[in-house]
Amino acid sequence: MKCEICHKNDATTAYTHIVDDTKKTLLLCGNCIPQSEEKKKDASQPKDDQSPKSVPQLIKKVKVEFNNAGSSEAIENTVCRECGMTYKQFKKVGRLGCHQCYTSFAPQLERLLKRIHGADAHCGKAPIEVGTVPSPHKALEQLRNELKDAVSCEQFERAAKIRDQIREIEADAEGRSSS
Amino acid sequence: MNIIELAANHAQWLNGAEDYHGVVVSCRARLARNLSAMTFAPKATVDDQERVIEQVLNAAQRGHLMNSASFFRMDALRDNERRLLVERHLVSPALAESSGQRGLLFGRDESLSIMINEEDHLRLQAILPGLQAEDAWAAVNALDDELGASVAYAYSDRWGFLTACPTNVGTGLRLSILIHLPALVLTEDIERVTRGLTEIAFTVRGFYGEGTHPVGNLFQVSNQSTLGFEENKIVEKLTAITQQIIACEKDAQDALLKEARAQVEDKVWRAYGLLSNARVLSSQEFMNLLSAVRLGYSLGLLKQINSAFMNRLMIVTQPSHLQMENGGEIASEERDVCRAERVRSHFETLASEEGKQS
Repeated sequence: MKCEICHKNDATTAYTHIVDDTKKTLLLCGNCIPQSEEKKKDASQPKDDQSPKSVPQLIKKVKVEFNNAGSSEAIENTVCRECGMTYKQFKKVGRLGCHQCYTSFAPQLERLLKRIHGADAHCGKAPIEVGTVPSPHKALEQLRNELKDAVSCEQFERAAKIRDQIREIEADAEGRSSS
Repeated sequence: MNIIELAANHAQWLNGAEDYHGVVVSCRARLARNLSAMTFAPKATVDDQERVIEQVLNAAQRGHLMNSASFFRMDALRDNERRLLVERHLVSPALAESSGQRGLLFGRDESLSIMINEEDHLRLQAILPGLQAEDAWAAVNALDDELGASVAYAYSDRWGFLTACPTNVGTGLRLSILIHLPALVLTEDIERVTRGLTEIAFTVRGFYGEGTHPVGNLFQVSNQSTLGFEENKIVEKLTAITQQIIACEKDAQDALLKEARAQVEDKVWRAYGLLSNARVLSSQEFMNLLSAVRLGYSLGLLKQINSAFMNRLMIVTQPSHLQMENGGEIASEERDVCRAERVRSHFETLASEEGKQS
């Protein structure tokens, strides 16, 4: 069963609304739920008389708006100078072509990302600098967990291999700190 | 490790730790990453894809976490073998089914793995038993640092880690908890829970993740949004939400037992009897019966079984595992007979172990 909004992904959730005392259920994919959810919130605070009356109408409106998000021809034909993808192509396949697409389509993506995530700026981890020597601490922790699991499953051959690997990393780290 | 050894391997995530009395099966932290200055996987040429595989394998070699990992090239595997990887939750259905140069790198206990050239160049995964979201995040974060020390990722200060699909941009972190909710399904409260989650930007997916259906009352609860929240916040929030769902499930279980004890006990013991004795078991029937038995374990009605037993049984009775054990393609009806045999033999082993102990 395909999602009733995007008609692309498989529907994963039966999404039920009560509109004018009538229960309506739509089968949606994960991607489409927040979009309709966001629109529903907008619709609950009507600014004019055009607030949608039923879910199918609401969804139709969302779909039209999604497709029309700033739909001037110039925007549609914006080309990524790195990979050659156009914004129109992106809208069709739903996947960007390269990292540069994020710069090439920045104004359009800004709106889209806000709608998908409710935010438009990253907050969290940044990549570690290339060339950094990874600390053996986390690897050792991981291996010790594995060792515990192997012993509890009575897989002694596997446990012995893990023990050797732990020793190797410890010796390596010691060598590095003393040199 | 080759594919036959893998089919019989003990994956750590099935060992039943931190299971909240059989309610939580496992948790998975997945990071989407792309190499900088390379076309994203869906648009990449075969040569580009090859280069990505090469760079990732080299980076893994240089670290400690994956330097003894096993590597499979998807195009060197048969259909059934690729599906086996899906059944073990090591690759997504999308990676198994798509074309081009794709690979899988995984550690001995299967808790750490890397899908190469799925929708993104890299999908790093840590999967652990029970509700250990913090540890799963820590494990995948460590792997991310190791690889990131060798290869440059596509990243922007404004939008974080850049991904092929805008739904993953930012942290690239998708955290999912595989959870068993039979009582909420029976009391028909599951819809309310699902709706509540959707409203706070969390989602419920099927057994194999996005785009798949729930089976045997197993659901995956995961974060919807990857942009604008720190990883630790996602971990914290999803853990708190899962604990609330567990509490709802427990309440529903208690209510069922209080109001219809005889019927619940009957359902559980009938399922136990069928699994121990059936001669033909379809996949769906097996998953439903296993769900009833798992409920029996959660309620303390069945003391002779544990989560590790049920989790492992759930994986080894899936179609590709059965075919692998039989050494080739087998028709669906024949598979149902094999499945019943396999389940019976597991239950017999359990009974004989119990006999030894008493």
